[in-house]
Amino acid sequence: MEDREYILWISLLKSISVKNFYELYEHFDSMATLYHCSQEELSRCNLLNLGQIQNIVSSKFDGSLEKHLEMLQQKKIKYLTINDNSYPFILKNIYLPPPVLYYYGNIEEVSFESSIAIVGSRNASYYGLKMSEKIAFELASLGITVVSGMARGVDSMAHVGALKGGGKTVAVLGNGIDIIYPKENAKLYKETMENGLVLSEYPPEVQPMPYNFPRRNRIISGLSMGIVVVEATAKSGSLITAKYALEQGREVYALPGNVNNKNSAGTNLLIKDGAKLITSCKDILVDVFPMFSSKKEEPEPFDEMNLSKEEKEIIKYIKMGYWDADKLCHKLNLPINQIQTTLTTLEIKGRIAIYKGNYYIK
Amino acid sequence: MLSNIYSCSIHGIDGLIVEVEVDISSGLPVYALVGLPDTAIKESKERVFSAIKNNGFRYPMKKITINLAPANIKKEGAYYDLPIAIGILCASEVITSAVSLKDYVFIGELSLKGDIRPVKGILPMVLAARNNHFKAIIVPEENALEASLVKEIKVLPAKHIYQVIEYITGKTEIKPYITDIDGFLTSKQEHSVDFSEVKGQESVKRAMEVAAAGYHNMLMLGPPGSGKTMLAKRFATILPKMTVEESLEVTKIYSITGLLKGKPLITERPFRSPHHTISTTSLVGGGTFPKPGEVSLAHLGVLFLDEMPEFKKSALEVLRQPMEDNIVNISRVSASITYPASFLLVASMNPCPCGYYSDEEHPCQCTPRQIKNYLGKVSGPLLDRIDIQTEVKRTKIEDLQDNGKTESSKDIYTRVNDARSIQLERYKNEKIYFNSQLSTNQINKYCHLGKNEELLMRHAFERMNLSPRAYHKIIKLARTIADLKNMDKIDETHIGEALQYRNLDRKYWEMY
Repeated sequence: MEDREYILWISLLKSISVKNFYELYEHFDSMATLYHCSQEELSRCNLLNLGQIQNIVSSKFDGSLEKHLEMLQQKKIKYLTINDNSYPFILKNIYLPPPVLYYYGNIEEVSFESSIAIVGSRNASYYGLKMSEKIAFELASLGITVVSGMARGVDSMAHVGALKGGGKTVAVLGNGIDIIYPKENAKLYKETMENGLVLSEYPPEVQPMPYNFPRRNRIISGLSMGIVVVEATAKSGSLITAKYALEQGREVYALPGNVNNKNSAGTNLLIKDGAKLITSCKDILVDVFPMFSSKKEEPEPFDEMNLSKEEKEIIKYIKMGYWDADKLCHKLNLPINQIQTTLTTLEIKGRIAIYKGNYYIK
Repeated sequence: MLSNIYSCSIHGIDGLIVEVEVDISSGLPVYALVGLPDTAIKESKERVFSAIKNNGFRYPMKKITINLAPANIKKEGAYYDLPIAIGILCASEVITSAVSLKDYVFIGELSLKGDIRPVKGILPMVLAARNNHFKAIIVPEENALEASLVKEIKVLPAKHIYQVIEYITGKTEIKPYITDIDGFLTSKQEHSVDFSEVKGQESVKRAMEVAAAGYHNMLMLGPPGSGKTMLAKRFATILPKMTVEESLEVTKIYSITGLLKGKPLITERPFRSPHHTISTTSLVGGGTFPKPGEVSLAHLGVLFLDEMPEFKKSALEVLRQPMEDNIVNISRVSASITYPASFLLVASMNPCPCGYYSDEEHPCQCTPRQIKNYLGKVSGPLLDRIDIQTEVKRTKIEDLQDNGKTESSKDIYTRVNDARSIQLERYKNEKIYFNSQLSTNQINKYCHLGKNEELLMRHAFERMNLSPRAYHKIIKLARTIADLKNMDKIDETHIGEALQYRNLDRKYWEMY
């Protein structure tokens, strides 16, 4: 048996927590030593209670490790242990890093030297979704790995943006990696696997239970140099990730939002507490590449050349929150058919987009 | 002796001439009624006996054989009491006719006293009598008004069997009943509702205008309380006027189902809104003796399905064939019948199970999967047949309190009617009446797109996430929008507007 298999074996024992794992590791120096200890030797180390000892002893002979290895092979799941060379270095220096990581994808191709996590609300607004995609796209096209959690909303869009940008992206799951959750992400899941990693500290077949996710968040922040919170409510799980990031000494970036928008309450709170306010990807790049000089940002010249008077008016009012045709019709006092036509031309020109039946500036 | 009297029955929505043959021969008193009669017809024996006896005539105590020809078609209803009674009286030579009975059709149910009672389905029967070149038809007095809508045949109303006997023996005359059918059509009924009562919702109102003008099926998506039902109820007020032929066709259907309720003629397009618990049979029609269903009752009018996903899936799926062919074929043991079913479907539904998907204030609790499943209750082929899919938003309090002018139904109605006339003129050599009925070949013929327009369509498909099946629907809608502006050529603005009415094709709940 190899050293990594001993680590896998002990990580599978339900009674041994991650904390126990590192205590034992320090005491015995290697898990192989532990494996060959007799029951008396185990009880002498004063780290284990009777139940744990029995668990360890019985698991040696019940064939559970062999079964597990066979299953991994069958499902083509690869795993990393804390002792492996390819285990992300950045993750090693957090408190209680996961002893074993299961993954799909090619770990050699993914660099964690400059990786950024993007997290946020599941039930995000158009603004949150678009910004997540945009930031991920820009980071990925500069070769920065984008880490996120594959959840609905902001997380999914971060992966989508990174893939569109042609970069690597890593999805850290709160369930076994052989389970696709949420189900509608099946396609995204596959693409992530091919262009990065899908990984989890949970063994295969573990269901996505609510209590798994906060613990998973420590890996998201652990794998990155900094985390971007795009949109979060005041009680969002993304704030847990931000808390872990601070504990692990990572940078926390927050995207500001409308004060009245519940979805931005969490990010605004982070900014108040000292997170770095970002308005574009450049604000992150300054930290990642110190040589990247942050010149004063020029506001993007808005190309109004090709727009008619009406189109300009409509854009103006959409920005002010007149989101649908009826509201615009009232405000501008134009016939509805004219409004509908103008909305179409703006959509085709790529100036506005429809989401949940409302129009937004792109 | 033998006598032949003509009467009429209903087959589908058309009348069918039935010959009532009565033969009386000596023998034991037997009464045999053949020709596939139903129970109501079999029981006519007792009514006829009493009616004859109570009017002072002698009922022959002999062998009576009655045949209803054609004998292979099942017959139902109490239309034959009067012709059987007259037939027995003639055959037993109690009376001798002074008129030629083969020119007459007799219809009526008898009371024991001999009064003639009204029956259902008079209009199609009178039409059948006229088409078979009968000179006159004797009908119950209560049905005379409805019967008189048919020209070129004398309608003789009768109240009592004695009156009919007096007439055929030449003792008295019956005055033919005459009405002015055009008078009914010109007197327009006032609606109790009006579009001006709906504040805001301009985009839906406009979509409804387009739907009414081109007869496009329409689906409204919106949260609860956004006014979908309110808007749909007002849809009837902007529907184009019915022509005389259309009016008679609809009246025929209502006549055979007995839904005329005293009105002689249906002059308003029907608006049917069945509850979502409706069975498949009552939706499309059927029964042992087939009866028209809601789709036929909505013929040339509107079928409104409120909360469409709540309908049984099987009930929704049966709509597909009538929506395509504009008819329903019903085959039962007793008959195989075709009913007309050219209706405009207006449906409403919530965008997701909780209903608040696109609502700005009320957060939606549904997962993408739930939304997909919910929308999936309305199948793709059915959605394919719905040209307009528009969104209804909740009206803001400011709009409700706004006293600004909103368009009345009358203004919209005028535009719709004009657009309709343009279409009738354009398609006079085709077998269609509306833009929605255009086939792919006809689209190429009547909806020519210029270079700019084709370019716009291409850009739209690239940019707006449209599904390919939307292509022809958008062109059809653009055709109607151009007609509403009385323009011969479809231009970019028409297409631009049409593109806004295809919400479900735009996968608007997905980001990637």
